[in-house]
Amino acid sequence: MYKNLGQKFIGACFILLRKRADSVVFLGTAFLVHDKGYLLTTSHIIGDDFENLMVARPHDPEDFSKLSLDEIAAVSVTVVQTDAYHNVALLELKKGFIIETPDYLIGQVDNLKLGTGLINIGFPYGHQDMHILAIRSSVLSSKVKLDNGTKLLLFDSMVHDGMTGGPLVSIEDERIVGIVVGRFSPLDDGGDFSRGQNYPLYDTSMSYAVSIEYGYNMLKDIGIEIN
Amino acid sequence: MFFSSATLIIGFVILSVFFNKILGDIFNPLLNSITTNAGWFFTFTVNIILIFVLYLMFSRYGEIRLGGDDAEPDFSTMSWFAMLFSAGMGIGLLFYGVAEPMFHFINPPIPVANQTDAAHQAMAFTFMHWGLHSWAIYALIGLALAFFSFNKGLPLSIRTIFYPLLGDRINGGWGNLIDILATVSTLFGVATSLGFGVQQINAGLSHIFGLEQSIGVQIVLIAVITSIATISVVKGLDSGIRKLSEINIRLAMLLLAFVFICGPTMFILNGFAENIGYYLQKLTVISTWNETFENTNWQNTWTVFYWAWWIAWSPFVGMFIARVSRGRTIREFLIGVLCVPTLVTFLWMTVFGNTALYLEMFGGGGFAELVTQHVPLSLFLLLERLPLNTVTSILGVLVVVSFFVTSSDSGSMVIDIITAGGNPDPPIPQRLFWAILEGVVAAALLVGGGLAALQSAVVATGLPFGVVLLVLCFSLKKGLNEYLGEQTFTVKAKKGKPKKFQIESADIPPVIFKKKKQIKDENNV
Repeated sequence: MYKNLGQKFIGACFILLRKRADSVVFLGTAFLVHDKGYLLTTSHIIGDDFENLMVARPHDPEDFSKLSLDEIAAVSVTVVQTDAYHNVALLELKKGFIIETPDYLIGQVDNLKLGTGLINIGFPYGHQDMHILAIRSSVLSSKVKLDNGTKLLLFDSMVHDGMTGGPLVSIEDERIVGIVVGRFSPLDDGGDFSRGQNYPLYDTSMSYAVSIEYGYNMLKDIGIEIN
Repeated sequence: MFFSSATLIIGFVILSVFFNKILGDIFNPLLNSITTNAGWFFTFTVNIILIFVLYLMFSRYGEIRLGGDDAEPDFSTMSWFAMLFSAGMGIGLLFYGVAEPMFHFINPPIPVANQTDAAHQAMAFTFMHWGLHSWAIYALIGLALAFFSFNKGLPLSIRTIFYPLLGDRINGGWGNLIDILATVSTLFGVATSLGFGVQQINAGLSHIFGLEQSIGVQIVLIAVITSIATISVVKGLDSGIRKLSEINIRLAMLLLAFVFICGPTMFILNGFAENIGYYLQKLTVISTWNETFENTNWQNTWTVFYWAWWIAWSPFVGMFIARVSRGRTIREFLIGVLCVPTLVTFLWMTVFGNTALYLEMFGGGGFAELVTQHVPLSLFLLLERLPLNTVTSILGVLVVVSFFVTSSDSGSMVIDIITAGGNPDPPIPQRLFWAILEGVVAAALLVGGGLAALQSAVVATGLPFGVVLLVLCFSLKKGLNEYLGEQTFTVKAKKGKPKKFQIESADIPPVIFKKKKQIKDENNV
């Protein structure tokens, strides 16, 4: 049903890692948005440490592959900008790659109607040492705003922690509309949705993403026009 | 790029003024050599382009919208047609609408049995020179620029059409060089036309009102045309160029309607369908005719010169067409750029050409000889033979001037966009500079000499650019294929393999949307 859309976007998704001495640790998902090597993700998975970040793609997702990998081939990325206010980070792949991206990647969230079909892509079980890529489908359930004005898209899918930072894509126009943050919790403590860590009753079957417009604005800030 | 182009142009003008004899000795033989030896190439190229453009029009690519699925046209369809026509054809139509059929009638390119065949052939060749082939050239380059710019995110600049060949190198020295050459070529093209054009207007005014023919009058004419064009360019595309184009088309249509009503109306009405029918029947014959067995050189000064001329002008006209065509589908674009202006051109040529033929064939003769000896006066000589000739001659002068102004302002706009790095709305001081420089260059060349040499140089660029247009057919097809095909993300390492690392477990970080105050405090620390 979503085969073509999945084929289009799986190549965009990378595992985001942080390098330690001779190893790397999993942070979440990041996705390509520009053929100059720019990627977007959420800023909270990077935190305040912008050093030693790497991205990797573990295997051809169309092949049957092992759930867990012992080793992974990774390349460095640098942090171009972070926006902790809206929870978005812009990364850049180091030079030395020939990258092609599809036309028309960025969607419009203001015109997005409730019930619009969506998919999200990422590496759900990375924190559990399983490095497989997964696609999930859902519909847009709600559009909400945080106290600080950040626009959130709620969708009816239980994303797992490793999907954080992955793209939320509209099925209708095949454009990215959001950056997945995590599972939604009906708590608003000033902007910290902690997914029911302390309140199991507040863990829901809904997830949420921040609007892609914040990523778009970051690209625009550095002079990159993207359609 | 702005300063490089401006310096190069001023340098060339100084060279042309002081060494116009030497430049003429270089470029005039070069142009002669091109038209003599590369006729077969131009014939081949323009036919390939026409077939390719027709193929695109009827293919699945026709559905692609320039600027993306959500794009909406910037201008109404009528304004769009007015701008396409005003930028694309311009002044030549006014003089050659009358003169060209006369030339071919008294000197048929392919031997004919009688006057009727000569008249048919005269109109068919005139239609070919001003019809589908020429607009196909503009359509190809306009479409390529619009597609690569509006749909692929490249700058709206001549360098963009070289993207399939040069890749990212268009952003470096090569791209700058291409844009500088395009700027220089466009400015000299428009300035030399302006220089020659005011001589023609002066000849017309002298014929009608007895005004003296002098450099002084011509400089005043350049100043008037440049001033109006400058105001139009500074006001911008919508408030200036669009409005002037609409006025231009209304004036031209008024003149057309007058000649149609007061001329041999039935002869024109009968001739319109017959001319188009004969042109379509003979299109494959006359468009592939190379004088192979006649061993003559008629084509060098007519067909081949026209092909070189349209191709040399195509970057300028194509870019203007691209600029005003965002939001159209490729099918709409090609119908709009290829079919509609061609039909309007045929209507114009029939009204003026058939009236001229009528005067020659059934009006006592002598008109063809008179016109061919005084081409700049051809329009006015025709109007003299119709009622109210003082009024219509003034209208004729106004149409001539308005066609000049609309060519001049669109030329300036194209140069503005290129030198502003592809910015479709360039800054006003820059618009002022280029519009005024255009007039100054025309005046300097008029006073100092060098108009002919520079015009030959511009037309000579048609040969190398013809090769570029052929390559462009392939690269545009490739780009359209990729655009319609299934698009994915691909990442390939240029060299070497990424280093491998062991994977360790890590904690899940808490989600935080920081508050403004928190970010401010952290920054202060």
